[in-house]
Amino acid sequence: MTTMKLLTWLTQSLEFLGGSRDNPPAGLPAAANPVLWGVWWGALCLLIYVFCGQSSKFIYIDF
Amino acid sequence: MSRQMSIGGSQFRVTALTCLVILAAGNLAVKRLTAHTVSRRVLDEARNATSASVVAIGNSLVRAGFVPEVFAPAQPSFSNTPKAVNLALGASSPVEQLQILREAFRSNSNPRLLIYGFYDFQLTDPVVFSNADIIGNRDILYYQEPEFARGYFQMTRHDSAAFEVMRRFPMLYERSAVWAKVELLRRYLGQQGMPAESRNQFGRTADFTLLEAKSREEFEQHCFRASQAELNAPVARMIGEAQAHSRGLRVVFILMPLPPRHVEMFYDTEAWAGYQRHIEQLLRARGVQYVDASRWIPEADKFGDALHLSDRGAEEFTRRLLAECAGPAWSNLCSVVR
Amino acid sequence: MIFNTWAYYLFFLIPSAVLFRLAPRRLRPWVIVVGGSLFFVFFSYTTLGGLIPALCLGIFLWESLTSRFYKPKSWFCWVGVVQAIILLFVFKYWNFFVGMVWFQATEKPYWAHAFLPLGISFFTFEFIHYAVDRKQSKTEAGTLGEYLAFILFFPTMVAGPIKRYQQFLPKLRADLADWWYDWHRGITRILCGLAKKFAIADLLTAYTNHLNVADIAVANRAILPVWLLAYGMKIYTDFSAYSDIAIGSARLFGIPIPENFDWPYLQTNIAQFWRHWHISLTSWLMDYVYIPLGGSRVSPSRVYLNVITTMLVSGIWHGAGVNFVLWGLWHGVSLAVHRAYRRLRPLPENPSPASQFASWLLTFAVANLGWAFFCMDVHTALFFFRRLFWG
Repeated sequence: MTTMKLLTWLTQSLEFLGGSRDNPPAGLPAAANPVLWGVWWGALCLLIYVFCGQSSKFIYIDF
Repeated sequence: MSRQMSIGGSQFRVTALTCLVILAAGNLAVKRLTAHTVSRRVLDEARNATSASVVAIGNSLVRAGFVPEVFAPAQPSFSNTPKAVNLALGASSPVEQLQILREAFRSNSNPRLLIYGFYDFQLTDPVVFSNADIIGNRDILYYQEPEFARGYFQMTRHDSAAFEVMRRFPMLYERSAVWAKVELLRRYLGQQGMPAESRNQFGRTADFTLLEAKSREEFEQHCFRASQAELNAPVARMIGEAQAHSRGLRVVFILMPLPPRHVEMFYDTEAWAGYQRHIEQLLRARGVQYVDASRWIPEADKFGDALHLSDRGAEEFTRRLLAECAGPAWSNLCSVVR
Repeated sequence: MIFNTWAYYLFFLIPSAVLFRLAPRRLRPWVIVVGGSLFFVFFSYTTLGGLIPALCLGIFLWESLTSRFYKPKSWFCWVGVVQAIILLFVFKYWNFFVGMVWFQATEKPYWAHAFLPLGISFFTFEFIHYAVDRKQSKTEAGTLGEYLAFILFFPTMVAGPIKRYQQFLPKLRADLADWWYDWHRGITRILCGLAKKFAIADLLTAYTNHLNVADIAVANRAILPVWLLAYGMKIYTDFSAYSDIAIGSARLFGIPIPENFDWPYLQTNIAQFWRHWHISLTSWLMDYVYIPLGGSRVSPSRVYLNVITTMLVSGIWHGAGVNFVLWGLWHGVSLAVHRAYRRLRPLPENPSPASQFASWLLTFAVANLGWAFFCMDVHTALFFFRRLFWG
């Protein structure tokens, strides 16, 4: 039961962080902190930046 | 019980601003982490080659094939500065090579011999770039005299605007240095459970067949078209800058050694012979010596892949080049290397 | 892919969403119509190669005009259904059909320069939904501008979710509030979708690119299940990322769109899997294929046949190829077997953790094994299974 509750909380938290759930689950700290949201957006942008070049055709990798 | 989250204008702006701060920090981190990319190291070498008498320029064929220590070993009785320097840059076009040469000339007052190595149609093919092409070692175009380099592209207006934006942000102009790490991760993941693939200093050896023509017919068509063309603008400028830099500077263009498969498939054709005569004429008209070294290394096992010499092959090529320089046909050159 | 281009965000999404918010209510549908039309023409021209795909915008204009004749109980609604099916057949299935029917002929009437108009698999389903629901009085007609806005709503045009007019219309007409809140949630959703697409889906192609005969033949057997699981994860993250971006984009307009994925790989039976995977398609198939065939109101054997038929339609919708038919059949049979099993052994009220885990594992395995037919042709998929199970 505890595992299921944890799984439910985890999925709801991920949904909230992902923008598909408007209300945060109980126990998610600082859910409305705008600075933390800015950090989250920045982290997502950096992740997108690092991985978005995978369609580039690299023949040489000596750099 | 879940609670309603509320976001107002000021909170949205704080979030957006924090995100921008993170991205600015990312820019600084990328700038720092990419301070020693290959292209920057070659530029540093160019700046430090203050008394080199022999300068080699070109792309990865020269980077792999020319061994400066073999061509002109450092003289222990004099200064430690080597007499020869290899300023070739892998995956580069004549525009980047020109930029490296200009940097070398700024710091080097009196080089005596300039060796430019090439293969196939590099001397006459036009240089056409879109922004998407400026990855890898070509990133030098963003930060090394970008206004000068742009004169050689045929960029669309959209690409020109994108170029102007991208050259101001390290995250954008050094993007391929970051993406290359992900590409290495992809190759590592892709290799799991598969037979090991052969690699060299430039990447996967099998990939370099992609840089060759797809068929002899396609290659011959290219020969016919290229036999009507002039030297492309950056190559012509390179020759001009070299000759203007120093009256005693000898310029030699070398068709680099290629594996027997490439030579048999493409170079043993009448079309190629015709193109060779054409470029020899173009170069001679500008006072440049042309050397066909494509058949100097007939053993396939002295090549690391479809284009590049292995270490053994490079040493043999460089020794032969040195021996040729000392021969009577090259009498103007021999004083440089004796 | 359109959602990873600067043009989508800078020229279409942001200007349209801002204009939509600022426009008077009566003009809002037309903001979507103009934005959607320009979107369709621009991306058809640039991604499909030319003027003719772009001219397919005429399909939407034709549909919007014929839709004015869809009335409750009118036979003309069937004209709407049939013309949508004809469009789908001609563009998507003609060459497959020719290959099947004229398989022995030396000269086949192939359409040499066949192309797929942008989003055809999705917008034809929205056309059919509207025609059928109008016939059954399940939705009002709305104005011409409102219907055009529905079919030209570009965030969902290319890859869904498949919308329902009766859900879309009230949101189109509603007062817009909470601009900041909507943009906050919308941008979050879009960024998460893009991160999911690039950092997970695209990275997994390092494995899934090996799903071809040459690589399967030389690979170590132990890596084969990794490749298949990687495909299952890749297709989920890729498709759900598109949905994230579409839903997030719609949120910028203040128009909430129903969810399309709800943790499908956490489900403990195949029926639940399909209620959580590509939800808009599953509900469309339920309403317009399964229920008209009789649904669950007929004899058990007929129910199983209805389930299998519905999943065959799903398979064919996904692609014009025998492998997609087999994929649909795989899931149809799985659903039928699950249904039959539950008839014999109803689900206990409090299943034990061990049985829940076993159910989850079985569901996960069935779903992922089915992907072999989705991503490879039949010959390659069978070769893959042969190597996987027999070496």
